[in-house]
Amino acid sequence: MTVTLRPRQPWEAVDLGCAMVLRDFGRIMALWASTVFPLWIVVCVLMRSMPVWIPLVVWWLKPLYDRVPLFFLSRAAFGERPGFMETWKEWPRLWFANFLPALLWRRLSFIRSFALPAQMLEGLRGAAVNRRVRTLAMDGGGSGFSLSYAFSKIEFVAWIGLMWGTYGLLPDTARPDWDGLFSAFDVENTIPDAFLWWGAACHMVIVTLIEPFYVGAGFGLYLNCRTRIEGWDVELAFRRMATRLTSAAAALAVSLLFFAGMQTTAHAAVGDDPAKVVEKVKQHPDFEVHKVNSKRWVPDFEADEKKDAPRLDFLDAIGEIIFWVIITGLVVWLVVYLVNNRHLFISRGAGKTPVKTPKVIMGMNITRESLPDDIVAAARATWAAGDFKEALSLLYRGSLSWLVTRRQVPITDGDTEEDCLVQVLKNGEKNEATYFKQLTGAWVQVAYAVIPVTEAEMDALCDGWPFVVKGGAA
Amino acid sequence: MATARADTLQPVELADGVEIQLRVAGPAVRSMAYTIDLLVRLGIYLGVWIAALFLVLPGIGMELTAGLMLLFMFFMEWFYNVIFEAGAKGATPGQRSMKLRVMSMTGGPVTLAQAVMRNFLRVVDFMPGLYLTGIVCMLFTRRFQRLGDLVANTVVTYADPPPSPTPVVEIRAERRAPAQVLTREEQAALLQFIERAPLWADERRVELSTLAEPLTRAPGTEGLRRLCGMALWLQEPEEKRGTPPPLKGAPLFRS
Repeated sequence: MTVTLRPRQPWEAVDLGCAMVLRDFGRIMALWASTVFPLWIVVCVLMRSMPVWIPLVVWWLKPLYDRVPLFFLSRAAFGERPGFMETWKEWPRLWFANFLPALLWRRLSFIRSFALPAQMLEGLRGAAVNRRVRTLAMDGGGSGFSLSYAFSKIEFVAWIGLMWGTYGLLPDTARPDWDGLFSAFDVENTIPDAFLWWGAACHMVIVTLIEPFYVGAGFGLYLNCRTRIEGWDVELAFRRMATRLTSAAAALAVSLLFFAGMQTTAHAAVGDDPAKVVEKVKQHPDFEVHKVNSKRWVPDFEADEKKDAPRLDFLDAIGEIIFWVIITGLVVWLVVYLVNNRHLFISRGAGKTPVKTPKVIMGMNITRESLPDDIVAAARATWAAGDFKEALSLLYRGSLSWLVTRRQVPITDGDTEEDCLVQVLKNGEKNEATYFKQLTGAWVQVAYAVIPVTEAEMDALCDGWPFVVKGGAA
Repeated sequence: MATARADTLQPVELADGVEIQLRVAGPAVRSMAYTIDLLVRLGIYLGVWIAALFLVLPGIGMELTAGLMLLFMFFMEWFYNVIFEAGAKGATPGQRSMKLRVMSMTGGPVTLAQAVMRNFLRVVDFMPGLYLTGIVCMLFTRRFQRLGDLVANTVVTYADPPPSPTPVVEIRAERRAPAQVLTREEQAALLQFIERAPLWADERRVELSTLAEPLTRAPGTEGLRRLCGMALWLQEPEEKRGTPPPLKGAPLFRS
């Protein structure tokens, strides 16, 4: 059996028939060409004077064409495909059996392709055929009708479509005069013979293309009908089973004595030793076992605590020592670094340590010890002695000393007179700053420009000396 | 010569190695569905045209009405199938009345892109006239696809589940193991027999079981009884505990 039988819905059964035809379309076409084309040639020759009727005759003779494809399909369903010789031997019998009723009163039957297998294949005669067809039609008659309707529609549409599509290829002489046709309905004179011949040819092409499928669809419906109402698939399977069991019966009679007790459980495999069959099946590449090994790290805390590896304990100790050495080294380095660079982190003003007062400014010693106790008196004495520069130097050094030590004006040893004045103006007391400004002017004049100050100025400087401890003598 | 068995179920292997079987629908039933759709569309045009004559025509005049009608027909012709096939049912009214639906080749519903593609290619299938290309293409492809289907990777399938007429009946037969080792096909035939036997006449059942006489080694009703027992054993080798539930339907054997 080369067809899968199972109860189907009618349209699916139609599709099954189409699938059967499609599978062997080439062979069916060859048989069709060798049996139907000669008939068509005869028809064309006989009707050459009235081509307008050729499509009708071709259509009317359809029941004859159906028989060879059906013969082929019925054999092919059981796995043997008849060749040319075999078919030609059967051809006369196929066409002449029941051909009169088929071409006369059964021609317009709407279940033609569905009934044909029952009429042709079951070998019944006379009234029995009609009874049989009626029985089958109770189940599949409606479907047979729909099938005929669907395929005649497809065939007609395809015919018109083919004519429509190829109309543009026709020469003008072959085209009908449509205006004349529709105005006068004069078919004879407005439609050229060439157009009629061309239409007949198109019809033959389409019939050749579609009719085998129609036959196959009817056969599929017939098979489905028998499957449904008679269990034909079961019957065929049982027949095959009976054949197998009876042919094996002789061998079985001997082996039955040995296998009688074992067969109650074995029902799946046949033939060889099941173990060998299983082994053979497992040899197939599909059963090859593929392995993929992959590793994944999983933290296993319990395993760390296990003491099944005590020899490695010293590694722990070494690691711990190294760890603490590194930590200690880091801490020491950090401390040393901080100490060495403490000036970066400790701001000058905020520090509690007193500002380191400079001892020498601009090369001048300004410590209190280097100066006389009464600076103003010493300055007057030096002035009187005529050493103006030394007198003013005494005053300037004395004022700087006071400002640096007592007023803590931030003056460093690198500062110039300008710097000192700026610092004093910024940080010193107002009267002292004013005096210091005056003094600085005089000092710069004397020391650098070497222009002596007047005596009045010197007196004013000495009299205005502010750098004394209030309430007491300096 | 080994040939493929002709069948209506078409296997399709999916990308993940799974094979599914599609119940593809052929040209005959699809032509019926198309005819119904065509009639539906013509009916809509007629209805809309009549409504437009009474409602719209007095307001905007004949030319504008005819223009709007042509516009409406344009959208219907191009998008009637697209909208229905990309919808939830995956079928036009005609296809639904024939119990068909459009599916992607993978067995899933069609996407909008697929629906657009398969329906816009109707122009190609229509050539050279009246769907000649589509008809020929459907007849000669295994999955009954026209060009639009082939391009969009779609198939038209039956939408309803396959028929399984299994009336539940009481089978009075003793479960027994088959006396012979059976092939898979034979086991399947036995199971088909027990499932579908209620649909057949008594005489037919006996006829069939007589064919299996080499297996049952008994003629007539006794053979039928044994065959049913073996089929029951195949269905269920182990005896179920407890009493089976009451079964409906006619008894298989006349008592």
